[in-house]
Amino acid sequence: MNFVIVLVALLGSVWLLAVVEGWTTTGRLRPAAPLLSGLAHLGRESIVPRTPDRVFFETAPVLLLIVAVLGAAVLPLAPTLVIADLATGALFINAALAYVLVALIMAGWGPNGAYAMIGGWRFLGQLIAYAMLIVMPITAVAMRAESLVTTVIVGSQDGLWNIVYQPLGFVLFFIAAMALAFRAPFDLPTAPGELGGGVDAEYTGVRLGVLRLARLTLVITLASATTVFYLGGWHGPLLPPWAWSLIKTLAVGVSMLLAGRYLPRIREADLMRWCWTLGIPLALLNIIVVGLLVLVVP
Amino acid sequence: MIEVTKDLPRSADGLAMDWMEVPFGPVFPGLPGGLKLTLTLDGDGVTEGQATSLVGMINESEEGKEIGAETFIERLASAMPLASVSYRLLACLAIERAAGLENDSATDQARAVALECERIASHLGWLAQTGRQLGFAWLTDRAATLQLEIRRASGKRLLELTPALQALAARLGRTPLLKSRLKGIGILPSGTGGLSGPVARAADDAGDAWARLWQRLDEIITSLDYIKATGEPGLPVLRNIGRGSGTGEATVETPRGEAQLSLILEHGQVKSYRLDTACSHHIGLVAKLVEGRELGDALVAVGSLDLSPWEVIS
Repeated sequence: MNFVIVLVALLGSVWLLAVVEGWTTTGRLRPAAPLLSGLAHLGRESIVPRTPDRVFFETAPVLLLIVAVLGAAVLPLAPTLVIADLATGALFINAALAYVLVALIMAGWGPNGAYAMIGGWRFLGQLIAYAMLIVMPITAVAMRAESLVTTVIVGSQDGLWNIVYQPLGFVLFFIAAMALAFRAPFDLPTAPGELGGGVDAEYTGVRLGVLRLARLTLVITLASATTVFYLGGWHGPLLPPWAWSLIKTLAVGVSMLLAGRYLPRIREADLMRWCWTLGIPLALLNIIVVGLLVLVVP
Repeated sequence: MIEVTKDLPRSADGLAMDWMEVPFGPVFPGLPGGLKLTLTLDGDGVTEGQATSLVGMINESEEGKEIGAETFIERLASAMPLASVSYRLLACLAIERAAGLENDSATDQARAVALECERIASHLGWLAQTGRQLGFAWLTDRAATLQLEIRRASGKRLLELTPALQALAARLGRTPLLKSRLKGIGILPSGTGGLSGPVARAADDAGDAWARLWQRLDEIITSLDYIKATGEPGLPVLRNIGRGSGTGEATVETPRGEAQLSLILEHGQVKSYRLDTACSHHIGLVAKLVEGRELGDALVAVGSLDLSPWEVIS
């Protein structure tokens, strides 16, 4: 039952996010647009490029979707509303999201096209930049909760959310999550102005529809992870716990979409340099500060 | 492994990689339509590149075929859709000089205001294109909206738009990541000749894409000041030349640089002409700008030249 509820919540959130994305792009609020767009994808010819690596080409969009859903499986909407309350939940998210790289490399290699291939390899460089900034802030979150169980992590924020307890970790995780979701200004693998869509470039029809669905699901999963790790998960007054989780997740998802509108795409070299020379030292500092707080403050 | 890579070309870092020749354009989101950029890529790096225009004008009139003066002006203006007012003005000036007409200060002023309006609109169009290339959606939307307003605006309305244009410039100055995205990109080797327009004027500063951005923003404000001091724009219209004959030359500072036109007029008909534009020279700089750069930087460098493929004369 939990599986169905979480899946419906995920789909509903993706739909709302798609409506907001459409609104930021066209300036019009059209609730039916995502559905119509999805149907249009189904109706369009799904072109296969010449001499593709068929297995990679076909598998990549589906794999990306599966990875996003798998990540969401350990994120609770309410104390008992979680698909799998694993003892290693926080670790599982990292493991699941590592396959985003695999999916994008496959999407880049599969079509046998230059733009897509460059996009795929660009994401490998991007992973080297953001990966530590996903793992290290989660480490600090787990330190406070003294657990990797995601429901326990939310429970540890009763009274004081992690965004207040460890704001530095929140900022680093939010930025790294945007890079993981390859949203602007970290959209190097797709980069419409540089690669004509990159890993998306050779996909059409239903395959492109699945790829877009997967990208939005990934944003929701990462927004949900941010909610669980830093925004107190289901905690909040008046409304039922699941409603707070959804509201916070959508707020984070929308801010991920909007932030990219006001910034130019980052240079790959700058991303790498800033992540390693600034981001990782700050993440270490965050771990030290949280460690001291955990030891000193009862 | 050695067997596989022994004959492959070497990158700057000594690695043997497959090099790919990749076309960008003539229809590509980050470049003006009609421009074809062919880059040889070594991974994400550019080893060499060249640009060609697929829509450029041919610099000769058909042998023995004379064109009516009005028709010539219309043809030239419509052949340059990104700077039609500038080339209309250029043709009018050259024909009027060939016909021996004296300058008329009121007409000249109105024409100059129209030219400055087009300069503002053109620079805004470049900003929108740059925003598209950089994935900077806000800039694309804002610059494109202002460009449309400028194109439709009268002199008074233009002045009302001044705060919005100043705010745009101020906002770009405060935008995080923009400077690091453009600074040091697209620097031309010292002593590069054939530059004109904003590219040449920015070369006096740092000569990179960041300097070109600010040069164009400064020109927008300067043009607005000129319009404020001068008056209403007037679309260049050919004055009565009768059946004049002669040789005429004119130079106009278009939004992309200097354009020169010389022509021979016989009994009110253009017998032959020769056109030279800034873009015809600037397109040759592409090879120098892209070599050894990362792909994203190479495209930004090409974009910063503001090439109009229609203004490349072959």
